[in-house]
Amino acid sequence: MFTSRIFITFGFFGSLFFLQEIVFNQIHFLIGGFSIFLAVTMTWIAMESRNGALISGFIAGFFLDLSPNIDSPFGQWTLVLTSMAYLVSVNREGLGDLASRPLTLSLIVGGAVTLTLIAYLIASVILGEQLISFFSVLQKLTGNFIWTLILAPLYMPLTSKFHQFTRSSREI
Amino acid sequence: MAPRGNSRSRLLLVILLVTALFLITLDLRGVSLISSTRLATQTVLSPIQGFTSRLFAPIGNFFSDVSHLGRSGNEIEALQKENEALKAKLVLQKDLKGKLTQLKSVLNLAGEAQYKIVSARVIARGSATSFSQTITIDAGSSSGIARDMTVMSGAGLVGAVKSVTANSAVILLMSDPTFRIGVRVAGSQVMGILSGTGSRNFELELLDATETIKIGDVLLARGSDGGKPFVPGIPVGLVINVDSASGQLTKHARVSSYAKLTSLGIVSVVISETGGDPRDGLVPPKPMATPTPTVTITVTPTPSPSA
Repeated sequence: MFTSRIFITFGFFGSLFFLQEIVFNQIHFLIGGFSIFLAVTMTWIAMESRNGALISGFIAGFFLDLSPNIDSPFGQWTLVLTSMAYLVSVNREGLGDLASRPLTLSLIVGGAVTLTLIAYLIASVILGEQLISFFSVLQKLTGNFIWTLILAPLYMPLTSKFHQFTRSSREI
Repeated sequence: MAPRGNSRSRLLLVILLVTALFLITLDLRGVSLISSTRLATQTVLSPIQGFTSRLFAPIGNFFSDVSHLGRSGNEIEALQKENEALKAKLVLQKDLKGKLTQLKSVLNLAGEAQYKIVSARVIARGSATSFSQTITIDAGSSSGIARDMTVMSGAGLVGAVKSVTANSAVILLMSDPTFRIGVRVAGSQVMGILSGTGSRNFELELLDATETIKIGDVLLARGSDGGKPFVPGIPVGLVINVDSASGQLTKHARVSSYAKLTSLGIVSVVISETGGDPRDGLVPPKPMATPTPTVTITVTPTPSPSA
């Protein structure tokens, strides 16, 4: 990944983080809420090469750790998203080009968002944090999954186009 | 033998994971640079959040309002009646009036208890990427707000100040699972500890299992040393279910909060308490039953024309 591409990725996730904190956090989504940041990050990662996905996951996690609403230790989201980026990039390699199969991509992104939240919960348990009730966890996971699928036609084409635009740079 | 690209990816993965673990270790060891990064982000975000919350105020609660419709037939009926009345009277000033009502009730409650308060607007609600339950308000240390101060609405306790910047503050809601508060039952003075569960209901654990508690009991904050994080006497919630299982060392109950934590528009931070402990003076009045008109009919025989 070229240095310029890393800067673009950094700027992209920075803007996405601001969008999440400033706009999407104002909207009280039904059931368990929706994270545009996680949805777009997973779409981006699913379209990246393995190394690109790892770096993108790390940068995205770093931005998420900056959120003042998060109670977890700084670095927890970086750890979770880097691990998930690796998992997603390794598993999607066998599926070929996902850009031409939006439904498969939507399901992968929805599943990846849910898995990411579960991984975050597991990391929270390991780090000794207090958890919310099982019902609330289930509600949050279900809500995020449903919203990620419902809103996929809105954020996925935009993410895909922007990703294509940044692809003009060379990979590692 | 693994391809060269794969081993490079694994090496990159290890480097990035070790970096993440290093960041976690630094944070858990309390390195100030790490902890102040979030405060810096909050300082940058809060003015913009303040602006966008005005823009999104009419649609912010749209999705959650829709969910309330399916709760029960009675609630829907009551809401429809209320909605019709509101539509007729307050089409243009609905949002503004809601906030004014919240502000008025919180000022009333604070006035009764003689709390010195700072009222603020809710400019953000937690994060979908976090399981902790917080809100952000548009007032901070420049208004006298400090960490660990009590936050209340017109109905009762909302939470406590978690972090502060010059012009904003993050409030940990009482529904957060890490939230704990010492409470006492109004009247009987039975003491217990109330915990957030992440949902609308709360868990009460009585300190003495031999004490009795019943449905409808009102819980008030017991108060902390110096009024931080909790001032005494503030209404916390209402007992809705008592776990009467025998053979337990402690007695438990389910509690619902007075404050509606999902629809907060205006909240107040208690800066200081000037009137001391209000005791049971802030117990909310019980809802008055609507009197049913009684019509008494006395039957009087009509005198017969022959008489």
